[in-house]
Amino acid sequence: MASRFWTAGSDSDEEEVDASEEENSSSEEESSSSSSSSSSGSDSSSDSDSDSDSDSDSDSDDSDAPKKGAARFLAGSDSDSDSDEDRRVVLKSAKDKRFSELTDTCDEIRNKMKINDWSAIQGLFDELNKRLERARKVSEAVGTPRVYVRMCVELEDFLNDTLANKDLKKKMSSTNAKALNTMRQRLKKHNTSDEFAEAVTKFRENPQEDEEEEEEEEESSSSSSESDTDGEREETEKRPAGAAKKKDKLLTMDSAEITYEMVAKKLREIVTSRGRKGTDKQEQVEMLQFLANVAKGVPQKLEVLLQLVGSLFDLSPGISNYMKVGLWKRCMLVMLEIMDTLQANEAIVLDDSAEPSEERTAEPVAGEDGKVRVWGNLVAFVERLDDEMFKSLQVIDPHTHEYMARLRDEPVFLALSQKVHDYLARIGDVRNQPKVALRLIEHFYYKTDAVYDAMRKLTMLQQEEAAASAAAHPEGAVAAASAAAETAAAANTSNEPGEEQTADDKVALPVPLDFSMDESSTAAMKRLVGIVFTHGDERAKARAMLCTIYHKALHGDFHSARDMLLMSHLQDNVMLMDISTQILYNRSMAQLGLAAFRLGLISEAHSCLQELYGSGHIKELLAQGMAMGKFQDKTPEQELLEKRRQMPFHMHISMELLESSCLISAMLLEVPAMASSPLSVKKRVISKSFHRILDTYNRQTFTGPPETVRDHIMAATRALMRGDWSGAYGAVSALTVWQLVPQRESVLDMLKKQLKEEALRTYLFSYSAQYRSLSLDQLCTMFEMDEKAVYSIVSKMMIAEDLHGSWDQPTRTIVMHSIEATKVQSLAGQFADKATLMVELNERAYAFRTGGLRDDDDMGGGGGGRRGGRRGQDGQWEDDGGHGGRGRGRGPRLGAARMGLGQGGQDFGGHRRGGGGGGRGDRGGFRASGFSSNMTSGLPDRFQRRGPYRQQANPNMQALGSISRPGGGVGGGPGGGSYNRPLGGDRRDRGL
Amino acid sequence: MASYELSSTLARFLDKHLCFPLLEFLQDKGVYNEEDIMRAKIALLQNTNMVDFAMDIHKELYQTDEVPATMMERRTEVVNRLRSLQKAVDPIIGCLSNSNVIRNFRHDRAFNLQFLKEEFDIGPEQIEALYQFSKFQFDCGNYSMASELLQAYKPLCTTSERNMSVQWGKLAADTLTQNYEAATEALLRLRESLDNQSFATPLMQLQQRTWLMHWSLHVFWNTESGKNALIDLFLQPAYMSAITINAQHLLRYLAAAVVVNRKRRNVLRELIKVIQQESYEYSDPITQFLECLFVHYDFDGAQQKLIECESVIEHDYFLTAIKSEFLESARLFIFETYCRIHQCINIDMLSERLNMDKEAAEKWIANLILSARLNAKIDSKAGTVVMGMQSSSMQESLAEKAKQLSVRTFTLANAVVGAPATKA
Repeated sequence: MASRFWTAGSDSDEEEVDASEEENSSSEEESSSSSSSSSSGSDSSSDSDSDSDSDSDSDSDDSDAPKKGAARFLAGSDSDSDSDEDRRVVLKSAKDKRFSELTDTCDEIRNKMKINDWSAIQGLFDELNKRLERARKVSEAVGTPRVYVRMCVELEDFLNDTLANKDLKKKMSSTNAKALNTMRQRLKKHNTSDEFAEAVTKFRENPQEDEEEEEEEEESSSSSSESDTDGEREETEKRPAGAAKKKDKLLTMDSAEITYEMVAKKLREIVTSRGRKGTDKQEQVEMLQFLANVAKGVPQKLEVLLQLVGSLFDLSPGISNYMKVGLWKRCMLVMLEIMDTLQANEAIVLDDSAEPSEERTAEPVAGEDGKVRVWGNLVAFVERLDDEMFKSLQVIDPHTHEYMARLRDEPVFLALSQKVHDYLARIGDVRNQPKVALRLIEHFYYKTDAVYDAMRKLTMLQQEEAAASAAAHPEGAVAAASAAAETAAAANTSNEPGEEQTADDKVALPVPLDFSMDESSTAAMKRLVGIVFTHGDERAKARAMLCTIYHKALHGDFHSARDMLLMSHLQDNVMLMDISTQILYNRSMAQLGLAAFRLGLISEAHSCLQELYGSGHIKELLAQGMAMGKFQDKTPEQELLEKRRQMPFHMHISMELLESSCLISAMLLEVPAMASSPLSVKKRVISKSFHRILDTYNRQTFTGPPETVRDHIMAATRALMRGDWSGAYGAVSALTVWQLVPQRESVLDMLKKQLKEEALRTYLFSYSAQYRSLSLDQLCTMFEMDEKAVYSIVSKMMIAEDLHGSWDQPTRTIVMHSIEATKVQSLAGQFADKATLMVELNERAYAFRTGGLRDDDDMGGGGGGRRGGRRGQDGQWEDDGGHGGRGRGRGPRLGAARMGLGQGGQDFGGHRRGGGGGGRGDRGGFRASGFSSNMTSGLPDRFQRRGPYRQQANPNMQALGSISRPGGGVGGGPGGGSYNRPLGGDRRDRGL
Repeated sequence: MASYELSSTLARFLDKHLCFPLLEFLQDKGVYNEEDIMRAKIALLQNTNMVDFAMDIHKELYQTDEVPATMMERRTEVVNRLRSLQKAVDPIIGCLSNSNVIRNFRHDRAFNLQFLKEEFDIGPEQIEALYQFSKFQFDCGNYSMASELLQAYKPLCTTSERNMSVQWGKLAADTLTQNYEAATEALLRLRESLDNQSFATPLMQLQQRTWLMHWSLHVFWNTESGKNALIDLFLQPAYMSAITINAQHLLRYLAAAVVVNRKRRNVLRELIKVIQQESYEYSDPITQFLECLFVHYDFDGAQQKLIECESVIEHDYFLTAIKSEFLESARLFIFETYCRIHQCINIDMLSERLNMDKEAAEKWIANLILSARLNAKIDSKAGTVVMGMQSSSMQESLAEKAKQLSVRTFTLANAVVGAPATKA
């Protein structure tokens, strides 16, 4: 019979919890064992579960508690189950059984909590209550079982957490959300009801309290059916109990009586228990705090403090949430104390390779080099603190005071890092020093001078305050700080989380008085970057380099920033780096683009920004928000990861400014180019995104007054296309973003100048055919430019043969030689080109067979050069983004880049002249190069897409963009010419 | 004019001995205080073995007959070293001066060493001493001797680093003996080995290339075909990147060479690009002149710069020889460019531009027209030059294209039909 029960039980483990309700008829089943109904089967199922407890033993006292509870009740009302021995083997007393039921339900609720299944929790909770009733009846005990109270508290906490976590809530299904709400109400009522309120508060006050008694009881009770002979488990279980006892003893002892050994032992206990489930972290922190005060000798104190920092970190939940500000501040205080101690005792060296002190009973003696080694890793702590600060800034709403308050904590962190850094420099730890230096760099690089100065002032202010308070309290600032920490600790131990929060926020964080920031951020950067470059690893170097580039660009030093970027070859391997570095790279590129724009280097700005902007994923690329695309199929994990990468608001680069800079650059480049070859089908596209926007704008039936950035720029574009520079300038200068630019005036002046020049060029392109001659003076007045500038621009156009005319010097006029092709002529020209292409293809085809009508390779080299002009033909392949990743037009290596710019020009005159490409078919040297590039357009499209500088920006933060050297324009790329050769070879292989 | 004076910049990349001519030149020109230059010379000689020379300068500088004790010490030291080296090196020199021995040498270095060892009992020590001796001779200013010794040592050196040193030494020695033919050859060899050097780090290569370019200035500006070679060398991608990275001032010499060398007009565009791109790091009147002329088409500015160029060139050790040539070419540059974009030019204005009087200008233009370098006519009544315009019409170019097409198609058809045998 027993065996039958067994099988039944193991089958219907937990599924039948509902069924068990039916048999809550209170009578003790096992005594009336004759009733072998199915319900009794289920009953015994929960019975046999008491064995399964031993499975969950490993996770210590969460699952211990029920047993203990059961045991207690067993001992309290000793055996009305006077049953015989063989029965006891299988079945336990009724009380035991009831309590294991209770425990099971609790466990299940925990399980459901893990998967966030509220509707299940709701059901289970009801059941739990019912079981509680039953248990009470059986045991006739007064009060609520501890297991139950624990469950209630846990549930409540979890509920609060869930409610606080909005995203999680959003993701819930509607039934689940409903269940959550019901649960909330019910729990609220339940936990505040008279019956439980007291128990709950009592439990919260001391979650450990009666566990030890229980445990002791358990140990004494020989009737325990468990086989927990596992020694390790024993130890872990006893420890908290022991800790609590010792704590009491220690706490009450006179600090003079406490010996080194005692503290060391205690510390060791805490260390070993760290990280295990069920240890009360809060209590550990308290204990450590106490230990720190009574520790004997400086090294021990340090040990305790280091441990304390670790424990404080443990208090904060997981990586997805940020550390509470108060907690963070306490950590900072402890860290500062550690640093002060280290500073005061130069003989002590922190070393994470040193073994943590083993069985030491006396103060450690100095090593042979007169140093006392203490185990500890300051760098890890600093990094963690930094990460936590970053996380909190990510989460806090940037438009609140809270955010500002949080930012105010930065000086203290900087001070701490600086101290750690100096300390590492002192002990000559070159392995870790760069890490801290890099952290500091990452706090500096995005700061403009104004922000940096503000930060410096804030630091000084805070220092003054600290000094003042130190003067007020003679114990000194540190003592005050530790007092503050204690109040915070006290607040922490009180139960309400909300209260804790407010109390913690009040913790004053004094900036150490001996900290001073460098005069300028440039100096600070230089100092720190030097350290990283000499000692850092590859990643640190790359990041430091990118930060420097960003910083230089931010301060308007475009040239050296660009040189650094090119010389470091970062563009080549940024794709292989981690995502956060790629983001940094993108940020640097964006900043570089803005710097170029501010300096009026339009084409550079454009090539920097276009990749970022053209991708359509700019928000993700810069980690400044998530795009809400329609076709987003991100898994929650991806989304979470992405969220974790976001930049805090104060580090953002203005998106609007980026957009305006990018579009204006595109406009300035594109409009004259469009005007230069209105008829040509193979017009060169400089900026695809700009064209797209322009097309949409042109399709609008009604265009209202400009509102968005795009509208403004499109209005400007229209004006510019007519050569109306003042209209264009009006539209552009009306943008509000210019307020964000520090050198607003100069940027606007630059824009005006650029607009005038491009308007003049556009005007000449568009309307020169209508003139026989143009007066220089008239042009000057039209475009409000001085004579020299007009002269220069017009001459340039003449030389490039963009403008068919020449100066008549005595009369100061431009005389047009109108050889503008008529439409028929230009179409005929195009036709001829196409026929040439066909012949070329035939020749190639023939060459496959015979091995050469002519020497292909001689022409191959020229192909790259004409690409600019021929791009339009490739239009049909423009839209297949799939081949983006191919290595075409990569970021120029320095050598190649600098040289490459020249090479093209030498071979086939002036392909870089951009717009003129189409009209210059008859130039010498064109033939060979033109053919081979025509040729390539007949190749399969995957060879086609290799416009240099037009690297496709992959959504997943791939390396973006490359920057052309000045004057390089966006035309031919450095790789162009040389790329053609291997390509030809490849094709030949395919042919054969 | 000192602001555009490059000696101090150049000196950083030159050998001590190669700096010396520069200092001499500066002393002649009197750009700097003479005493300063003398002091610089002494400082320069301090680390060489030319102690006597240093003493002479010292005496001259301080107008005394006494020389500091350190110099005397140095002198005895040098002499002693000379003796010991001489002794060590005697056997091998004796052996190598025998032409029969040299004849037996092969390209295989190991064989050579073996041969020497067996036949004359000359071991590595003596060979090493030979190298040291030649270096010593070089330091003494005995360049021709050093050159010869190095020549002899060359087939015997084993490591590639040492080989490089030898080549550098040879180049310097040949340059200083003004044996430019040999120097050109040494330069070429050195360049080859630099390019084939696979062991060097990029940084090292960069540095050596920069040195090479600086040292080569001595050679190139002193030989007839040097300017051409200079353009070739400097425009090599690797060398150009070396220029842009750490020796932007070399653009001056490149620019000057291009201006002077009419045949190499085709590289002008490339040069302009580099100049423009580096203008934020380096610019001097010569590069500015090109920039004005070919970027901004600012002829007045170019004119202005040309005047500045004159004094810059005059004070440049390397360029001073080509001054008039440069000015002439530059003037022509201005004029040509000017003509390209004008159809009618006033001769008065032109003569002003060209820094000539009207008569001379008219003559000059007439000459140009005669030599068929300028398609223009002089309207002497109005005092203008009228350019002849040749503009190819659209129709012509179309016809041209069509002709080409037919030719090519014809060839193709012939090839296809006429050569069936090749189709296998």
